[in-house]
Amino acid sequence: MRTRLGKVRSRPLVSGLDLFYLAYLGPLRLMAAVLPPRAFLAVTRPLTAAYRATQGRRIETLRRVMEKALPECDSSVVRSYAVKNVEGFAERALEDLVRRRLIHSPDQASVEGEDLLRQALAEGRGLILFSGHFYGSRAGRVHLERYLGLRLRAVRRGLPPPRNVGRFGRRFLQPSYDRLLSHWLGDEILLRDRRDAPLQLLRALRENGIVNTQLDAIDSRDVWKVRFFHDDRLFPGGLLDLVRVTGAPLAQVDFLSDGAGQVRVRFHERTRLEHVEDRDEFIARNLPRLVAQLEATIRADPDQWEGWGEFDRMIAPRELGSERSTDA
Amino acid sequence: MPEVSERIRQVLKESLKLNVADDELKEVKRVDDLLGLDSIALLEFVMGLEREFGVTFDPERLDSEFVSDLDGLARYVRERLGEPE
Repeated sequence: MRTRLGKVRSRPLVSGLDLFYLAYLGPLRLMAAVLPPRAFLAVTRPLTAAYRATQGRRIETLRRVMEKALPECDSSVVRSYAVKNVEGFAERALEDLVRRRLIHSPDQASVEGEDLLRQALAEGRGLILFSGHFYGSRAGRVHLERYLGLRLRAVRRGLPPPRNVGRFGRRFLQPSYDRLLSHWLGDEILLRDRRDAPLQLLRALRENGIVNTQLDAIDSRDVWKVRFFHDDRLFPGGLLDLVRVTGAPLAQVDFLSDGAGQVRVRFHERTRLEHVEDRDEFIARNLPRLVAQLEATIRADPDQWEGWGEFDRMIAPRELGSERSTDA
Repeated sequence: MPEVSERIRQVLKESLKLNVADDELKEVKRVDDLLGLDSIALLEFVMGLEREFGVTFDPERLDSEFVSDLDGLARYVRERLGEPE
């Protein structure tokens, strides 16, 4: 185990990202409030292409990262994944502005494995779902709540990572975006409430609730090195701590979107864990299995995973953190 | 049979794997007084208490402020066990 301190960088007053935030939280948000949701999406559709045109460097970075992770794929295919990935970000951001007012019809989503989820809930111990950061997550959660009466409590770190925002953005725009995100996600548990978050999670499970956690959250303080796309990457151990301490069942869920309004939600069979008394051993034995499941989902739909942008950052903790290996 | 508050402190010591003498532990009034408490530790502590006393915390009591106050916890556990103050 070792600890290290992250670098402290000086930050400009206003960055390019701040301008995106300003446009998003200002005029776009205003338009979204006054226009009918479908009209808003139709009017703003060209912005996706405009956004893509400004993201040449990002597309190139994603392409390079994906090529390394998916060596079996043809380079033109990888490039198309990178482009779709950037477009997916813009599409999701625009949909978010009208998310709660957007009337999806029941057939706009397919849900697989609902019976598995209901079986797990029938035990009365709640359910911990894990997934990765996929663009379809928010649409999927709204659909599950509206049409199946399944309310997933989101577990979120809090403010988005501060990279690339200026001091102005950090001080005013990100908090504003964070409040907006809380409004969209509704019932959520914020991990920045370090003391209360685990107890809130326990409370939700005791009420036979469903909590939705992200396995690829890279800002955790307790991280473990696990094999992921041919390389060692860091993953948080907190999810397995929660499972170990509460004894609640754990299952994977995928939220995938086709970029044309269709969402696919897939609940997997309950994850079978290897039970050992020692905490570190428990995580070391089980975390690689969860990570392998996540990798399989990403491999099937690489353009859908938001994490490619953070992929190179998954190799070192950003702030003071502890890092351990699952090889032991 | 040790007193409830004593047993609570023992659970605290064991669930958090604290390396402190029993005399020192008696002085601890709040869980926050202990340094190096990670975010899952309170959860471990609560689950340890439930096992020790065979009670289940009311959902509204699952709150860090309440769970950190050891004297308040002792009163709550006694009440749940039907023991006099």
